Amino acid sequence: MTVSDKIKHFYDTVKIDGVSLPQQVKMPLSIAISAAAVSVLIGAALIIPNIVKKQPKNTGKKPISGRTV
Amino acid sequence: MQIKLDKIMEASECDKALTKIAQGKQDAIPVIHKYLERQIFAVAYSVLHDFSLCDDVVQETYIKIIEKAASYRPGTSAKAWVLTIARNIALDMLKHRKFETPDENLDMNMSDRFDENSILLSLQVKSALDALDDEDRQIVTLKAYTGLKHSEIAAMLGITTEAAKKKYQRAIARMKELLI
Repeated sequence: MTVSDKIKHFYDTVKIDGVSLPQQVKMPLSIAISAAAVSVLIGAALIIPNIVKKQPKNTGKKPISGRTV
Repeated sequence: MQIKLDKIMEASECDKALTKIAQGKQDAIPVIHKYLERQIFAVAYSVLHDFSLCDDVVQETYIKIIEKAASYRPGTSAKAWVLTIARNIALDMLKHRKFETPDENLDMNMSDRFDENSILLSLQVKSALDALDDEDRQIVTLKAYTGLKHSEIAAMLGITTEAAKKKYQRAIARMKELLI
């Protein structure tokens, strides 16, 4: 076995783990920031109308009878 | 003959994959992973001689490939381009890890499918590689394991082709002595 073969053997026998392909790894910072910004906007779009249209609390008082306005 | 055909195939597939990635098709990354994962790992080890950091270098290299693929010139050596990125990432990591002790536990990093003799041989090779200076270890790994040409290694290390050849021969001779 030549020295080159021994070097090949060494690197071929080393266990490689923990490497995942980039679809699963962290995304580039600019994309991550954009994604976060979009999430915030979507969240805001869903929550704000509910706040604006919030119904008044039920105070338990009955409306005055006969009143039309 | 078969090995030569495999190398041509590898070069062509990696070249095509980088061209696709440059066009935004990230699904070509598994091609780079298939052909160059171990070679990237080896380059990382030759710089860092710390197994615990090599996986990170492989992963960072894939991310960098996606970011920089547009600067790859199709038809040039895809492997040399990828391994240069890997080496630069490993060198950056080395700067930040200078004062920490490397992970030297080889047994934990050997694939389970190998027997005792294989592990023993790997331990000897690891000791011999670690006994070389940093540049010699990188040259030996780049030539013997990744199969880069002396001219490609010289360009990567910023030395002349002649110097790369001489250093390789000297380092192999030194390893031969150490592996007796």
